[in-house]
This record gives sequence, structure tokens and C-alpha cells, in this order.
Amino acid sequence: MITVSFLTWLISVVYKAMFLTCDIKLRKAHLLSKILFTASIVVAVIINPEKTPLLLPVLLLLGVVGFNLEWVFAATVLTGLVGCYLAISAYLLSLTGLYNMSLLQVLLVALRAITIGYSIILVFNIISPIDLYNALRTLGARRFSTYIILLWRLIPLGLRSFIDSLAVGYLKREKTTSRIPPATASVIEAGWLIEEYSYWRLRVKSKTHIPLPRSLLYTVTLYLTSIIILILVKIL
Amino acid sequence: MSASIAECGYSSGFVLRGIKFSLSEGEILLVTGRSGSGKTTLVRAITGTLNTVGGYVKGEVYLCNRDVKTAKPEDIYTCLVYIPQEPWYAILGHTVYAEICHLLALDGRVCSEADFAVSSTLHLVNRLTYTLSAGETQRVLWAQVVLKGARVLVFDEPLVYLDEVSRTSVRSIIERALKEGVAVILVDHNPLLWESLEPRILVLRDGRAIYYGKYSREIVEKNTSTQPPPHASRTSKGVYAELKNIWYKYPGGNYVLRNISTVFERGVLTAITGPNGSGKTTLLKIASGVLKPSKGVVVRSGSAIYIPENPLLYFSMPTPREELLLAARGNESKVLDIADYFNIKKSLDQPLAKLSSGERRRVVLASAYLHGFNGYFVDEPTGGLDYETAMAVISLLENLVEEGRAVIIATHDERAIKRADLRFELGV
Repeated sequence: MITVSFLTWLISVVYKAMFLTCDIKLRKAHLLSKILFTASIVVAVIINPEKTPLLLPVLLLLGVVGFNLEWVFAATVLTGLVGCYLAISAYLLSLTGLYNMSLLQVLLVALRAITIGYSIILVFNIISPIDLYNALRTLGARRFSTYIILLWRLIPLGLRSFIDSLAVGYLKREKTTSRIPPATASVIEAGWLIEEYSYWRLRVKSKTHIPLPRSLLYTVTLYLTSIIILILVKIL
Repeated sequence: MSASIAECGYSSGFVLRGIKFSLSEGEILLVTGRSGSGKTTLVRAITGTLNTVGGYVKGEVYLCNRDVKTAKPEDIYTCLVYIPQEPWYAILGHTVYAEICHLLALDGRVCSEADFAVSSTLHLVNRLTYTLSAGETQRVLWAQVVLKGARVLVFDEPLVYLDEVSRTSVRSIIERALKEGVAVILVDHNPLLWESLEPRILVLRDGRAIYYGKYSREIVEKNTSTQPPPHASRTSKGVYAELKNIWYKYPGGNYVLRNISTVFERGVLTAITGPNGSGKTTLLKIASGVLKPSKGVVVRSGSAIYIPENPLLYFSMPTPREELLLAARGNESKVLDIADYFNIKKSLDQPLAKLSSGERRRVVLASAYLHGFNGYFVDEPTGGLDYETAMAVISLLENLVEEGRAVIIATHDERAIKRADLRFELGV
């Protein structure tokens, strides 16, 4: 029963961290600012990995400004789990004597993992499926572009099916593993129904782009954050 | 549009024969009949999607003067709007903005605020589509009617998940479309709901058309029952669950439930009713223990089960027999008795995914019955079912009630509400 509760909680955290954001706020920043922001994080992590934890407060603040506290909390919890796992593994390894690590170093392992994980989730969230849709159109994959926005619709639907299925399994006092087939079956059925109900729509190629209104405020915010990130790791 | 179908169906199963009709601009056809009569097969044949589910059509269907079999996808897409019974599966966009703008992009038009205003979706523009209620989802789909300029509309059971306000909106949209010369095909198990539109009517039974012609109340009443018989009143056998000051908020949203307090009793059938988006399903989930309230307390005496609107999410095994054996802890004779009682003996070894809605609901109830829970929280138990199947499901729920269990349903269905002993209305 604990496994079911934990899994339900974990899926809802993934759902909040990855799919809670609409095409508002940071998603409305200009594409170039998003690319620069992503590049600044990659450069910071590659050139000065020791200092990546310094980025965390800035990125957390960006999450609050660009999305909301609920999202920041979910993203931090999700990456915190990974960070804790890596830190505990490193600590246990140090206990064996094969690898020497102080408690401070163990803490740094956790912080680095949290920062990098949080950055990945942040970058995932600032990418708008509409940007990807338009990019694929430009590259000539006009029919495939529809599947991008469909993917962003289907994944949360699937996650919600898993949560409902796990919850029913909890009430039926069943093993967690027995809940995976029904949840999968309902997602597959949803896929069939979408294919049937949008049969003609999925076979028509888009003739123009979908406009995504840009926000100057959030574009500037991303540029500023990129500069701060580079200053913090003393690259500039 | 016109259809002249000698035969259509599935190579290894149901066949529909001898369907012939045509619709001119501004005309409406109402297709009705019991579950299993061929309504869905006909809709698939008309919309040209039967082959996607392994079916075939011998005959011709013309939409906007184009043969569905040979027309270009663009032509059919532009001509037809199809709003299915489960509207949420007809949306492709992750947000309402993406959905509407994608529709227009397929037509070569760049969306603007005016498009949202004209389709009455401006207030929903920034919403994620998987957070929309059924009524809101329908509204987003109706936008196609306004924005695409389609000439043929096909609605499959459009009122099932809608409250009275949304039902009135659907009727006015259909009336407006008819005035604008659009041809409308409506599939509904309850033709009386559309009497005022004076539609032509096609009554199906066991894969054949048994009536096609002018709307006639006599024909409708002969072939479809709509009103449940009265039932003897039942009295409470004590409190099963008490909800005290319940508040609930979904991630990233506002409070759906605010300070709700009530009790659910044993030995009576309770119906939770209310408008779309008022929190009926959420209340069921909280009362059964699927969701934890943001604030407030739920006290239950005894075990509970939540049966979702999509019964597939309830099952643990691939066939009814295995599902029931699991619930009966391997007792084969008990399974056969229950299968007989719930009228599912014929489908015991069919994959659950291939059963009809009515069969799935009966299997779910049979399994839940064998588990022997004290409280049953059932979401839209009769949604989309014809009168006979709906009454069969309700009578199974009533049997649980008579055994002293607590049965709580969330529903829009008047047939189910009329059979309930108590009603708890949300959003009033």
C-alpha cells in the first residue's frame, strides 16, 4: 500500500513539474532568449561544474517569477529525490573505503544533481510545443508537427490515467504491478479514439504557422538570467 | 450529404444493412435505437472512419458531393465536423489556444483574438485542455462549427455529459447551424430531447433500419423508453460516511470544492448532481479516499470503492472471467453465479477492451460486488447507455443498496436521478 501511495505521489509530482505550465509567462519569451538561456546553463555546467550549485537560487527565483511557487516546489522535490539518491550512493561508496568523500562533498553531489536536474526541467518547461510545431513546419515536417502538440496533450492524460488506476488499485488492495496493464490499456484506447475522432484532421497538413505572442518582460528576464549565470561561474 | 449503404460492419462481427438516406442543406436527421443496434457503426461509415477500426463499407457515402472513400482528406475535413460522445478525445491541442489556432492553421488562416471571441472561447484561451470540464470541452469543439464553415455536422450523443445550461447551448448551436443551411446528423438514445426540431428520424434495431421518415412521437415511444418506473422508497440504515468542511484545489487551479459538509447513508441510493465543473467527480474521489482533501475531514465506516467513468481504469485483469476470479478469490462457481446474475456470461472470455460500455459497467459492478465493499462511489454509471442498459445498471446498484451498502453516484442522467432516494446538489 505504501508503494501505491508513493507512486501516486511521484506521478503527481512529475505531472506538476512537467505539464502544469501553459503557453504563458516564460514560454512567451523570444526563442533567441530561450536558446541563449539554455546555452548559458550548458556552458556553466561544462566549464565550471564545481560552481553549478551557485546557480540554484537564481534558477529558483526564475521559476517563481516565470511560473509559480507550486511548480517550483514540484520541480525541486523531483530533482531533490534524484539528488538524495546520488548523495546517499556516494556516501555509501565512501563507507566502503573505495572512494574517499567528506560529508561536505556528499552534500555538494546532492546540490549539483538538484541544480542540473532543476535546470533541465526548467528548460523543458520554457519550450513551448507551439515553438516546436512551428519549427517542424519550417523544416518541412508539416504533418508531423501536429503530433508535437498532441504529445503534450496525451502525456498528461496518460499520467492522470495512471494516477486514477493506482488509486483504484489502492482501494481494491491490489499490488502496484497489477495496476500498470489497465492504465496502459486506457491510454492505448485513448490513442485509438483520438485517431478515429480526428481521422481527417490528422491527415491534413497545416498551411500556416501558429502565432505565439511574445512577452518583452520575460524575454528580458531570460537574457538577464543568462548574464547572471555566466557571471556567477566567472566566465565573463 | 447522402448515404446508400448495402452493408457495413466488421469482418468478424456486427453488420449493419440497408441504410439509405439523404440530407439537403438545413435538414436534420436523428438516428436512434438501443445499444448494439448499429448507431456507432453508422456514424463511423458516414464519417469515413470505419476502416480505421477494422471495418468495411459496401456502398456509397457522399459528403459535400464527394465520395468519402476517394475524396482528398482536405475536402472531407473542410466539409465535416464530428463531435463524438467522448468529446475530450476529439481535441488535439494541449491548450485551447493551440487547439483553435491549429484548426485555423490547417485552413491556412492565422488565428487572432477575434476568432476566440466569435467562437465564445476567449475566456478559455489559456487553459490546458486536459483541465477542461465536459461542458467546456464541448464548447471548444463547437468552435469548429463556427470557424470552419463546415456543411455537415455529426453529433454522437451530444447531451450525455452536459448540464441543463450547456444542453440549451448545444440546442441553440444546432438551431443556428440549421438556419445557416448546415446538414445535421444527431445520434441520441432519447429522441424526445430533440422533438422541437422536428427532425427526420432513422430508428435502428439489430443492424437494420426499422423506420425512416418524419418524426412521430408514436414511433419514438414505441421503440424507445425514456422514463424509469417509480420505485418504493427506501430508508436509511445509518450513516456510512461523513464529510466535514471539505475544500479541494487541483494543481495549478482554483478551489473546486469549498467548505462542503454532508453525510452519505447506507441502504439508500444517493445522487450527486450539479452543473459541469461543479466538482461532482472530485467529491466522489474524496469521499471514497482516492483524493485527499486540501482541507477538511472524511470519516468512513467500512471499505470503499471508486468506479471511474472509464471502467477500464478499474480492471486489473484482461478478461471478465479473470477479473471476477480475482475478486472471488478463485471461486469458479461463485463467478458463474454472479456472471449469470449480472448478465455477462456470454462475454466472460472476451478481452475487456472489446466490450461495449454497458458490458464493461456490468463487469465492473460484478467485480466490485464480489469484493464486498461497504460503500460504492460510481461516476456517471449510465452515461451514453440506452434505456434498457441504463435500467439494468441502475437495478444492479439498487440491489447493492437493498443489501445495506451505501451507493453514491455522480450523474447528469435524469433516469438515474429519478431512481435515487437522496440528492446532493453541488454548485447551487
